[in-house]
Amino acid sequence: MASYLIGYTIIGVLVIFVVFSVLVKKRILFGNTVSVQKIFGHPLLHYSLRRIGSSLISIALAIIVTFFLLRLAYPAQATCLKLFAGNHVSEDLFKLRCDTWKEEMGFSGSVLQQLGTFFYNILPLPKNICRTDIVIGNGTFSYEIYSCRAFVINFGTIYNLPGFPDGGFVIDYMLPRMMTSFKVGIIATVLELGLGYPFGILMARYQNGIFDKIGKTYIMTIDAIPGVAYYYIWMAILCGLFALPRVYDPNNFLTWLPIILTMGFTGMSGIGLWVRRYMVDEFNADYVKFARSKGLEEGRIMRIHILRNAVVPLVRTFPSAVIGALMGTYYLENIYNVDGIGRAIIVANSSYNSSLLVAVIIVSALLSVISYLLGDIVTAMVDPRISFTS
Amino acid sequence: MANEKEVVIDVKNLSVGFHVRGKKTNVIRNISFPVYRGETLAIVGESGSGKSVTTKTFTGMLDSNGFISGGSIIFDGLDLAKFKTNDDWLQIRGKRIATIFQDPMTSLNPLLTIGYQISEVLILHHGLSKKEAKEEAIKLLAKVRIPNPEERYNDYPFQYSGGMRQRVVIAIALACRPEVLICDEPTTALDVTVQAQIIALIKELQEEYKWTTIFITHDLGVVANVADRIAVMYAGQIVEYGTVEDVFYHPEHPYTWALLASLPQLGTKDEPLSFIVGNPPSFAGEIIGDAFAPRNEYAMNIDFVMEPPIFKISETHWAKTWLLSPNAPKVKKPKVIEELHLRMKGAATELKRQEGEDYE
Repeated sequence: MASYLIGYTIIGVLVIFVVFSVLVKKRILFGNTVSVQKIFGHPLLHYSLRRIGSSLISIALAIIVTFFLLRLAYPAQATCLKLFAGNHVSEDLFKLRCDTWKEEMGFSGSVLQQLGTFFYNILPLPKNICRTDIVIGNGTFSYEIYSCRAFVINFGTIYNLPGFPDGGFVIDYMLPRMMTSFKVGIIATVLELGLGYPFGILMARYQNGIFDKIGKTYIMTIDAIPGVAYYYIWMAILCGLFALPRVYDPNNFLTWLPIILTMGFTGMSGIGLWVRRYMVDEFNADYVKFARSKGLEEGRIMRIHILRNAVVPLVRTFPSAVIGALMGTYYLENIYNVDGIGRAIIVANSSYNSSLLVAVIIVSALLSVISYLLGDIVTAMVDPRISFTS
Repeated sequence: MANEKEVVIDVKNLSVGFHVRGKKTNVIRNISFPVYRGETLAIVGESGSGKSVTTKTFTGMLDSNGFISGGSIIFDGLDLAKFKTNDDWLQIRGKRIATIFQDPMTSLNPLLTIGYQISEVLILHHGLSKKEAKEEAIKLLAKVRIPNPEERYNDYPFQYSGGMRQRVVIAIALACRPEVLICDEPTTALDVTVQAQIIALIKELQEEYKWTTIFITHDLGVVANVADRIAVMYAGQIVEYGTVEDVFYHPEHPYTWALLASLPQLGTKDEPLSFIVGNPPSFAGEIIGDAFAPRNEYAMNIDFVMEPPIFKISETHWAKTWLLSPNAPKVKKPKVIEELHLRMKGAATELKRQEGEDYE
């Protein structure tokens, strides 16, 4: 009950906030109060609201498409067979488990009803989900409600997945794995940026010099070799040559290093390439020549007039780099045996858990929407030419 | 007259080359000319004639593949042609020789405020504090007639029009307080009425600050308005040099004739507009004889085989054309050149009438 109250209060406050902001912006409320206009009528706020609004429409459309694709790819009965038909289960038990599963997964009713249930479950509205499990006792079957939980978003349940209890909630599968991927990914992102920027700056600063040539060769190599092969090369170097442990252990930081270093060294090449490219453009900019003709020293020109301007187009990618770490990476998590979220989409597909598949798709869609929005906002903060007024 | 004036920059036998795809090209070919203190020297010529490259050597701003292959540029006892490092140039750039570039739309850093870009020069060259620099920058903005300078100090370049940006660029040059100001086609990217305002502003400030101006342009109309002396450049050489009166009223080089004849302001309704046939020579190969010969209707055989020397016409005036040789046949200048006085007067009257309309 308390969770309902908190959930709906938050939603209510958000709705009131949006409606109030729109009315202030349209000067229906507080039209002449500068301080209120400044906060609730701020162009950045309204740009964000517009973007979120239009993104929600896109996400809703994506969800509808996903729903129908899943109904085609995972027909209920066939999926049931895949999930529950093994282990010499009797026909009655199979039917019972299958019906329960269909109910849980929203397969009951007409297609439109199913779509409605699908939306209700994933809309961020507080809901209490109680699920039943079948307890087999003395050759007879009985139903028993054994868990009820409050959810904001309900992605459904998972069956038949090794290492995870049958009927466990998707959210319980995803969250810890997202955290695992994020812990590794965020360190790798910092490393990527920390190596990529100086790498690109040095290449641009000494354009066509020896460092630039080595750098360009490295970037071309990474571009030319397929990702998987490249990851294995790094694994051979790090775990073979430098004898770092191959298998990831969450409690031993040393085992984190191979995946972090592989991600860092790979990612830095792309960042270096763009930093170099933007900086070389800036070197030839008229205002850099003018700055030089004003008598400014090269160090200052580099810091104030080149680097700053070259970084602006790249700032947009910062939020997606950070948020992207939440979704992990399939190949690397496989290679180093990290139980992260990167593997989830493949695991979901191979184990016929469409609920997990949907969850991964929706979460990654949401995260990319947030990344792009934050990217725009951060870019606007560093580039005065961008305004959010229509 | 020339001997009484102090020479501020003395260019002697200057040659400049570029490395292009593994080959060396010679784009400035052995030029010599003086720049007199307090005067305005206009360097005129077609695009690619070497006007900008010549002045870039005065501030060490040649592109990275460019190099001075010979000669000297004497400025206050220093030979600028011998300067090698950026540290050498820091003593000259901005504080002694400043440059205004062609395109005000791209000359200012789009991410820094106008005020910052002026102040950084004041702090660097005159050691002012941030607060003093701001006060001085606002004064400079007022000086170049930016309205409400206090408010506009914090504006970004994109909030200014082209003409206003060029005023800011001039304010930055003013902040440098240079001895020599190089104006590299400062009005080319601006519309005609704004051009007139910018030129008037540069002239006015020059009178106040007494700097020397080197004005690069391909617009002879502008030259008549601003210059004391003119150097006409063609294919990396100065082909005629003299005072404004010398070059406008007694031009001797066929290229100068052709340039003057091409002034649209001097055209009359019944005559087609005049233009110079052909293209300037490529610098890829060696130029033999007079570079202008293939486009010159007055060219003689010798023009195709031997480079003309400098022929002195008066104390202030010289030209590099075989037509001035005592052995050359006398040629009649084109009609438009003969009538230049009258046509310029007519053009000036028309311009004044138009300006009057613009300001109404």
